[in-house]
Amino acid sequence: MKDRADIIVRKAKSTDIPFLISAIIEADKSGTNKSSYCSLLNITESELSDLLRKVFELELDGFEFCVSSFCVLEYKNELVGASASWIEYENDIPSWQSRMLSIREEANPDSFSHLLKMNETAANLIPERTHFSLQIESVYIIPEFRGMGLFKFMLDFHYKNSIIHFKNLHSIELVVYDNNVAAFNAYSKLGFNIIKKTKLNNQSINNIFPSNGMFLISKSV
Amino acid sequence: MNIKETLQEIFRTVFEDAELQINEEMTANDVSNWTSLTHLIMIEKVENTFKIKLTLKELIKLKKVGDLMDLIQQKS
Repeated sequence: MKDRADIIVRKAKSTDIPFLISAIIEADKSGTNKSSYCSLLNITESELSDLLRKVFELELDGFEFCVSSFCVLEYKNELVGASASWIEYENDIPSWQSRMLSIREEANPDSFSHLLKMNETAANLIPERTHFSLQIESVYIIPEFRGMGLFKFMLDFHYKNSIIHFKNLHSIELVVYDNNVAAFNAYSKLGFNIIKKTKLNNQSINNIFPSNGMFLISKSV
Repeated sequence: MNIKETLQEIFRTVFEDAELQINEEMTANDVSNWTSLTHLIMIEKVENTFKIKLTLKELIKLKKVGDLMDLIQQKS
């Protein structure tokens, strides 16, 4: 039996990068075997890991591929969970700008061309994030540590760290696939409500993403 | 054509708005077709048209059209 008292939450460090990459990949798959990043970039999971490592090494901030955005859960010196957060548009720059430019920098040209082609199809699936809202992304807890309230543990950590430097925070947002009922129910219990829904009736979307619909859910703070 | 006029032509083509008038304070919030995809297409057209190469560190800091105009001016 795991003792909750043995689990700590802390800011991520560069030595955590391999685990952060696994967290991003697993969160992206959302309990399925479909990695949208692999499909969009036309690369294998191992190539995606290499790409994400290179993007992490750029040492940027303000989106999910940055060590500075992540916190991790640690149990007896083992990492058991991670999640990223940032304030959308905090420095008047949308997170998509940093995300796409960093991928452009590090992906091979063929993958990047593939992403541009696919992005046209997929652009309307991902809901637009609200400016100056705390974004939570890439939430991953290893299976044997689920059901212990550890997402809330990380959420509180992100929130407390955000309001230190951003006093006017008005809400926390998450993007969740509409078929991920377990995650959605867990977020609902914590007070998150749907504020935007997307649904694409394009068959090719189902080959790329774990679902053809997404919710942007929000909680006022 | 000066930098602003040339950039305006690029914006009109990429963002599919023949009437678009750019100004220094304009951001992605002000242009309906300015998305992550069209942003990258726009950057590529800027690099090809002005025959310059913009680095990630330069691009990632761009907040408004005026920043891009200043960057083109410096690199041209």
